[in-house]
Amino acid sequence: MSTAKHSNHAHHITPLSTLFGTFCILVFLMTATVVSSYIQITPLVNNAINLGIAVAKASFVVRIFMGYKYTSSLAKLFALAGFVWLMLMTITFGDYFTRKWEYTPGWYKTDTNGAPMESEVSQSPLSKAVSVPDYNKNELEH
Amino acid sequence: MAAHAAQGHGHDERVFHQYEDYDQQTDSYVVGMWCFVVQEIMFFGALFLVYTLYRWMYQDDFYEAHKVLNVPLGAINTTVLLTSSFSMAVAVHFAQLKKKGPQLAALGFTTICAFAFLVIKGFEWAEKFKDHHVMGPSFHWTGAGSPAHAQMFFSLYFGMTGLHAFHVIIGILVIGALMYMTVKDYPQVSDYIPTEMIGLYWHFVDIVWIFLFPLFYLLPK
Amino acid sequence: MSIAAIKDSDTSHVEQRKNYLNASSTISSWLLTGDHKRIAFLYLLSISFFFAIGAVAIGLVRLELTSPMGQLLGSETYNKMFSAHGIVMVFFFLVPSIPATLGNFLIPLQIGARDLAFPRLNLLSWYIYILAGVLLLTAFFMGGVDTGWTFYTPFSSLYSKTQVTMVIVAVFFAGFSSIFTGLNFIVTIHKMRAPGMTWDRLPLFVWSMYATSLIMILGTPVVAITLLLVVFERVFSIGVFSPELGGDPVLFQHMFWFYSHPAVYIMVLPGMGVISDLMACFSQKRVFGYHFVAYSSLAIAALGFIVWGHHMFVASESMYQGIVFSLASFLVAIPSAIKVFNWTATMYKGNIKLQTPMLYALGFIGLFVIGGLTGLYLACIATDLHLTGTYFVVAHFHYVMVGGTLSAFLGGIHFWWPKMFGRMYPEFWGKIAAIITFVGFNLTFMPQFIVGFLGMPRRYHYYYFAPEYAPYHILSSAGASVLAVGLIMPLVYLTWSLKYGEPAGKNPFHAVGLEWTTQSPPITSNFDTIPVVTWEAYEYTDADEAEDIQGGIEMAEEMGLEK
Repeated sequence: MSTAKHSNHAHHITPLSTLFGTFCILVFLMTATVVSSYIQITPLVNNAINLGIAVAKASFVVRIFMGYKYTSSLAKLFALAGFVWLMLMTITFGDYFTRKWEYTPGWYKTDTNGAPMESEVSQSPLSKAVSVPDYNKNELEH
Repeated sequence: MAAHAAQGHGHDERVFHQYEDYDQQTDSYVVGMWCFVVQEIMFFGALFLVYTLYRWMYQDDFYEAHKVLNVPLGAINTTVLLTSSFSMAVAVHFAQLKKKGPQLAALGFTTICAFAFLVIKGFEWAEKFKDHHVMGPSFHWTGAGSPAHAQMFFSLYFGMTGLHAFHVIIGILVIGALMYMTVKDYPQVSDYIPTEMIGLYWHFVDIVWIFLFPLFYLLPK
Repeated sequence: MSIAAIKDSDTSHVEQRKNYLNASSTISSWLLTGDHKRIAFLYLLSISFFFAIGAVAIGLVRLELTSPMGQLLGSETYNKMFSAHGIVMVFFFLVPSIPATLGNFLIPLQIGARDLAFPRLNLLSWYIYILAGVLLLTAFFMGGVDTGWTFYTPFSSLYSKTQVTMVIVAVFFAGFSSIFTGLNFIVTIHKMRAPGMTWDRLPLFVWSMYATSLIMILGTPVVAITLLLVVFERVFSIGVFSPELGGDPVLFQHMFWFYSHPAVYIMVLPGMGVISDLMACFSQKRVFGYHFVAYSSLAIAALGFIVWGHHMFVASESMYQGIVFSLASFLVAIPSAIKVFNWTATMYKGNIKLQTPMLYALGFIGLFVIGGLTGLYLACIATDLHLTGTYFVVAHFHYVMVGGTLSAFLGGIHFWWPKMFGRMYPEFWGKIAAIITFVGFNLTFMPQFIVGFLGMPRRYHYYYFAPEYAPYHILSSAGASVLAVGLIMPLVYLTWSLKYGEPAGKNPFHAVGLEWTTQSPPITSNFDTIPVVTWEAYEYTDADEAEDIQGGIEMAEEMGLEK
């Protein structure tokens, strides 16, 4: 309550013209994203366009329709927290990106001798430093 | 704040006993609803994470699989949802102006759009069922690319759009309840806050679809 | 209001007024109540019930392990028993324990509010919890579940023939109950504080509940969706974690631990909050480094979210990513240590009274330190390779969860019992029980550290391959029975005290804090008028005492007693 000193946030009424304008922009962006998908440039560029437009649309909805622009700073903080926290989950990708840097027995496709296939390992920038055990040799010694 | 406290407690009929005044109540609702939206972001966010990971792993197979999705229907559905979001915002606008008639009309239009969305979705899904593109034992893939990964694509497609559709259904129920209460002049909905809160939820549902649409329908090669 | 005034007014009130317990007595007035204090009581009953179920399950497990041959339970039953223990204790006892009982009861009282922001949501969360509990019990009666509390795929999604679906749905609902509780607390702490109750004046219990609530709303949805995907995999053959479709079962572990590691902090942070309040009261001193303790709660909550990978060091997680997670895990030790040092410093030169809650609090510190430090062994990849999946891990997290959370919970229950019910618990039996619990606990889990280090894997129902482990297991099982005595005692004497306990008065422990300024038990609307707070948190030393202490120190210095 002590923080709630002045919270007449509510009484901002978004005019209909703004709402309609936003709606038109949203439909335009939607059309743009569909059209862009028929023009294949490179996957990277197309993905960037798709996601960029999606983010733009979402931010219009959040700012105008959801009234983020006019809400209390506390509500803003929470809304942001959701997106920021979501980013923490992407740490997961670190695992998948670096998994093949190190050879793990039994985890990859192997050839008939049990050695890892060429395509499965050595993708690491550190691959020179990481030695893959020579399975063929071990097989013979046993 | 002392001034507020002195005004006392229970003077305003709209204020529940635990609050000191109307502003405090309104503020609490707004923060509470945003917290709920944050919770929903994490809920769907985890699914988007799964999607991103598998898309990264199996981009080519996903590209092949996505070809069977109906882009025009998807685009129409996006428009329908955007329209419903717009009319929801209009409903909030009229609720703030205390114009009950237009508010109800806008809410009604929002529900109609929501139904339309579900119907179109239903047609899309029916098509997938017919073509054996639903994951599970009956899954049959004739297109290019790995059938297993295509099945993964459709698992994600049905999982994510299904959960989204579930949220749309909840939205219809909640908006319906709001309309009923507004028509019957319930004191709880005598101001615009309930409409705005339900609006927040509905816009969130819209945002989820805004991301689902390009991620499933518009994959680049 | 000065502290002296609070103390003096102790006896001046005649307590004939209606309080929240006897304000109305129909069943529906309890089951449809919006009163946070009544809901706290409902929660207290329900979590005690689930605790008993979890305890019975683990009792059978401990009995089984007294013999290397595994003669009591079949392997299937054994799996179901430890799974039942884990699921019930984690999702139905530890997560809701302190937040839903003490948190529910105390947050509005401590911040000077009439109720939580959303009383009906609060009641709804209790009903969801009960719905979840009923589902869980139904699943147990229909044959139980054998996946362990972690529901690892692909076993849970493809192979297990037990009631996994129903149990997961139950856990899903319990999760939403906890999300709603967290949401309610966040809004309450932000918006319902009494005039003058700034963030700097909040009791540390409220701070830690705030941190806990953040984890609840940011983490719980993730585990909810993850478990839902497992259900979908079983019911609709969705293949997200299925290796057949190119899915990665380890992804489940990533997503599961994204919540379930922070969930450990959901369990222990409220305990830390309780301990802060107890330390201040029973040392009659302001908590040393108040701000550090407060912010370290938030730091734990935030850091807790980036360490989940340390559960998967040997689960094919990339070594490079493992290093990152290992480092982050070490970092969590910092805010935890800040808390421990500050509690210890709080006692320094305090006027320490060894009453029951303080005994639990002291026990907490010791056990939490052991639990925390052994955590570092497990956060270190090299030692974790040896220790992972052994009883060392089991002992570690029991030291944190049982030694930490359960001690704090019991300490807190004793401390606020007079406030909750207006009656004192019997001090003598309280102390005995606290000591028995401490001894029993160490007897149970200390041997598990050793046997785990020697190589006993967890979740095995026999160990005929290594009969030399038997003495440790027997010690542990014997300790469990001592622990059981220590836990049954409070149940008995606290129930007894409801009727026969000494009337407590407003403030039996001479504690400060808004909750002690109302009558015990409080009236339904908590305060007659909402207080205006003009004093700092934990203002224990009043001017006279401070002068006395200062005078004493000077005199001592003059006499050369102190350096």
